[in-house]
Amino acid sequence: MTKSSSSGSSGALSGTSDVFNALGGNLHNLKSSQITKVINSKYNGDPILLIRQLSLDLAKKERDLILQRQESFTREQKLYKLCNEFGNLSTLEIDHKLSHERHNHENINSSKVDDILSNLISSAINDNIDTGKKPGVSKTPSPESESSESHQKVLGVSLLRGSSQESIKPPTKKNWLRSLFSSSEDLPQTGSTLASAPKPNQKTTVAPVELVSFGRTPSTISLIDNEDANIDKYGFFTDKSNVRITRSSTISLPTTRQRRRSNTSPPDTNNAILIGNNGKAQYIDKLKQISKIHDSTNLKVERDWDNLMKAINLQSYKLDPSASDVIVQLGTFGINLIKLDGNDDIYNWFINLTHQYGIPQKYRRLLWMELSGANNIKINGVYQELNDSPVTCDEVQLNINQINLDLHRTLPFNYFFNNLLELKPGPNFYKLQRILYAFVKHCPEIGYVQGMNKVVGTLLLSVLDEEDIFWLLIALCNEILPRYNNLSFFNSISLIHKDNVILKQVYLDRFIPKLNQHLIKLGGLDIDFITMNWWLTLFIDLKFLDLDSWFKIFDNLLIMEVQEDTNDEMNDDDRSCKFISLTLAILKCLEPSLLALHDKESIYIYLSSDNNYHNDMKYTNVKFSDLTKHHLAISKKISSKELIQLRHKI
Amino acid sequence: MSYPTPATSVKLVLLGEAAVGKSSLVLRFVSNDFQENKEPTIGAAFLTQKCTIGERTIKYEIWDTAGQERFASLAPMYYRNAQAAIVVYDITKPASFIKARHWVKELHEQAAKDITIALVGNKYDLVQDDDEGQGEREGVRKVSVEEGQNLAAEEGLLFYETSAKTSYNVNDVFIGIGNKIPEAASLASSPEQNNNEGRIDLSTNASSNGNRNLCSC
Ligand SMILES: Nc1nc2c(ncn2[C@@H]2O[C@H](COP(=O)(O)OP(=O)(O)OP(=O)(O)O)[C@@H](O)[C@H]2O)c(=O)[nH]1
Ligand SMILES: [Mg+2]
Repeated sequence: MTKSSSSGSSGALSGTSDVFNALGGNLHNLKSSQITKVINSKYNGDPILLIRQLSLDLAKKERDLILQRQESFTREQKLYKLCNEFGNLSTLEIDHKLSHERHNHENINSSKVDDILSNLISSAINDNIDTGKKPGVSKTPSPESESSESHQKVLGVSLLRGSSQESIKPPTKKNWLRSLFSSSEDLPQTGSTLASAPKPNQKTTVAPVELVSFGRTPSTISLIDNEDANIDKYGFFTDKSNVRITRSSTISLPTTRQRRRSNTSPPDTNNAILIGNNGKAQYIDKLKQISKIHDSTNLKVERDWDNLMKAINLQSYKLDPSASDVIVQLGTFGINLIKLDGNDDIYNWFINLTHQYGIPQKYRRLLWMELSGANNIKINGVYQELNDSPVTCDEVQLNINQINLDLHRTLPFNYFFNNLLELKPGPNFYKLQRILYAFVKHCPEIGYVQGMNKVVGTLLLSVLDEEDIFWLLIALCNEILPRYNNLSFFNSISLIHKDNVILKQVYLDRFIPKLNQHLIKLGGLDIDFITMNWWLTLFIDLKFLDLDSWFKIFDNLLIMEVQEDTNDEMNDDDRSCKFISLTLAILKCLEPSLLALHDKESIYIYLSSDNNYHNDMKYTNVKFSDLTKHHLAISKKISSKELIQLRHKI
Repeated sequence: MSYPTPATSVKLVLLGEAAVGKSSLVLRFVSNDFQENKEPTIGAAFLTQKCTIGERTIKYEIWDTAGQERFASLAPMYYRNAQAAIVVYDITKPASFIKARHWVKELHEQAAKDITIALVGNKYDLVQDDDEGQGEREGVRKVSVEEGQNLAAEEGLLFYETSAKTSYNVNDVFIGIGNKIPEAASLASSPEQNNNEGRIDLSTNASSNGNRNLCSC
């Protein structure tokens, strides 16, 4: 960071006189006597003023840099999207290209992005569209394949070093137009362009439909944008076999199972967007109504949160007016909130909101970093350093070997991890790799444990960026997750299992006796192995929880409620209790469904995280509000004191 | 989903290094499916599959365990009461064969005395020549057939090379185990029930998938 900030002021300072105007530039190149001169003439001989000036300059530059980075990030995102949708390019190729640029120029030059973007757009516009494909005219295969070929070439020249494109089989998304619309009948009418109906087989250079409306009528583009038919808002490919995927997507369309497995079949069928299909219009209307209601509740909750955040700011300002730039003073687990207003009002408000609704998207980054303690341990530059540092010891190498085995196997049905359309890794694949590598280098004593990949992978789908997630992972291990005999959560598999045995043998009967009886009647089930799996993935791996609900559960994992009896913050055993009561709460939500299953294996399959088997099974969608209700009720009745006793007994 | 219960239940555990393809073998056996990027197993997964071998119906109760070393401490809980075990390695990864040796040794020391063990070298498709089907690609194979056979002979194990991807030899593993397991508590099942849905009749389709059975049975 400092490297680029010094190169930011490019004009080399040769004479002393220039220094006065541009501090923070090449001051370090001056002789001490010259610096003294500067201090004397400009700062009345007070070096502190110079330091202030320097640090101010630095801060400004840092701010500029952040803004710049943000901007280039959004540009990059847009570019990804464009390239993916229209450019026949895989995310990996774009990634490579971009990182190549970055290495050459230290900081990605925004004009470069512009160049690439405009190149891309112009080549896409130059692309030939087979007008013979318009409604009512029979398909003529030859010009169609020609056009897609030329399209590929243009892009190959403008963005790639060509070679890779030719050696690899043509990408499945060969003709982007075709892949967006399943048949010619589904092509949207965009007034003049296509209505002028050129004769079949006559090739004219017409801008692709989507680009005609690009920037002017957002309706079409947004439709394609959001509902890229098979991909939901978190990037999961919608597919029957993965229950979460189907549930969290707004509009799920049938997809062919073969697509996922065979490398060759193009995604041309069933990819249709809901254009020109009247039957579905009603359905959409209904959905819109539902979403309106949904939105209004959301709005209310968000206002409540806004007010809370304002109150927090106000209080922290009252306490310390000089610290006006402190945005929030939550502290780890929200503990500081109690000190804030002298009584528990703000704290309780905060806890209640989190329990009930989870944290809204816009505050998540801030609050997660603050609550987990990640902000306290974050040191700028360390993450980058870890990324650049070589592997020095065998222990780390072993961890990295295991990580390498799992990278491809993390969220394989998510577009950002595994671009199934192009059969290439997505951008998050590399982020996951860097985070996990850096983690095992930084915390070799914890190392990599399967489950972390899924936790980090899923966090990458949230609003946090790569480096934040790295620190968040460390904070999770050190502050949030229960430790066992002072060993990290992830190093305590056997003891975690033991807690789950206790859960099965003692707590299940106490809190969900009917279910317990049912399981015993079926011959006894080793659900401890299954619930242990839930713990190790922090409850991500549950097919009855959609991703939005999981994020809310994660919000709640980060707050360590002050214990009523001792008035202390949670210790490790209390945290284990929290995991136990959460697990029981989930089982409680599932109780009716489980009672309806009358053989062992169905229950195992129902509860296990693997959903590749028996696709016909129906899963309850656990509602977050129900879950909290049960969780709060149960957690009041589980004490760490008892848990410790039970651990000794079993 | 309820069956009459004429089948012999066989508790079976899969052991082996991470990513050798344990879950993939099970997925192939249970659902006749394959996934290019199967997610790692955390802890263990439980599955069942019934199959018919000749006159007998066997219901396999399968514990598919996690391969990462960290989870090894849990393994005894899974193989403690198991009647059968499949120890898997990846024929392109020598380290996984060493790990397989360890598992075999541990099973002989810790598991039930009469446990039936199959040694399975998976990912055969990777060494297979694309064009012919005969012959092998050079240099990809890192564990020879002989090494596997020798270990199996020394320790009295069944031995197969398989591919979960092409399904080569996969069913044969389970048939082999079924044949070797003593017919202890088997209740003879009437023939009509043998082809209930949810079951696969291994005796008929076994040979259609793989053509080179390396096993002696
Ligand atoms: N080419 C090929 N790949 C295979 C075969 N079997 C499994 N794989 C792949 O190898 C990887 C690991 O397979 P898994 O079945 O998850 O391995 P595992 O032994 O269960 O791994 P853990 O659960 O981590 O212990 C996946 O990407 C599979 O697609 C095979 O026979 N041939
Ligand atoms: Mg597995």
